[in-house]
Amino acid sequence: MNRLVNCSCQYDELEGEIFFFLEYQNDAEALNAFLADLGVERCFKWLSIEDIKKNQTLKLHSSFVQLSAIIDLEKHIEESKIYHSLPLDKKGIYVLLVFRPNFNKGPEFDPFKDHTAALFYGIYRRNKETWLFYNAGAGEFPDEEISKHTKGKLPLSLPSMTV
Amino acid sequence: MEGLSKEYQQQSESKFSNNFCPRTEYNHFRKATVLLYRQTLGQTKFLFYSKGIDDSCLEVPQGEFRGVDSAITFTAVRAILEETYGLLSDSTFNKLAQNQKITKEDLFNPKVVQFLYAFCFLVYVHRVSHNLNFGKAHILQNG
Repeated sequence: MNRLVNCSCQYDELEGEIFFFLEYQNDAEALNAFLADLGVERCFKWLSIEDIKKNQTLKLHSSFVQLSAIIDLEKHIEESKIYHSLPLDKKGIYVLLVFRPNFNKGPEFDPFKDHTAALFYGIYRRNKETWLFYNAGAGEFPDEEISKHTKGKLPLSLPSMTV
Repeated sequence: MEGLSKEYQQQSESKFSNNFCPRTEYNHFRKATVLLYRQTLGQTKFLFYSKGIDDSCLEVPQGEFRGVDSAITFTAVRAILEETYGLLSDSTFNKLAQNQKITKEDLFNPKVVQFLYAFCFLVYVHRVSHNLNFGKAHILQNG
């Protein structure tokens, strides 16, 4: 969940469908070896665009085929990295401000309440936007520099509305 | 860099052109697809999985948006859990990195995930929905 919240690259220009690009470093062979021991019918495989082009017998997921026909996937990832290296004034900064004095202090984890960012980023965030999460209840506020370049603020739950 | 910045500025100007974010500006995706990638030696590779050892049909985690998801981010999480039994989670990743063995207890049963999702959604409706409505109506433009 946290990796999706912090996802720095997505493609959202296709009608009705969003693609999240997540960096993942694990070795597929190690994963497959454990899966075989457990009797789980999943086999993971890393493939480059060149591998895919060379092997025409592979039947790839239709959404992947559709997206790779529209955009250059490697270039899209690189462009997102360039965007995130831009100075603050060149970025599209949005601030999600909550008031949660007891945030993360309780013994029980509530996947919805404790993932307010995931909920609102899912509703609003688009590619090449930087969304920042602050909990005013814990004394967290955007600094002056960030405030100066913020394009939009989403104040969520005043003290009187805290759940 | 200049190009990226101008493109962004045009998008943001249309998105927050007044104090209230119009309904049409919300994301309304019906499907979420997760592409896992890694970059080594200047080459980008994508992670696929097949449902059998010799299967040439290669899949990526994908989920259809359902009401219980409430936002597309949760659809993506559900897709990863349901399609890969949670094998791509951080906990499994860390275990592999430390050469620890993965056991059946580390895996998620997709049916259990669906049940938990439905349960959590009911709790969520009661506890958070008023916050959502409040937030939607109060998008403020800086300056």
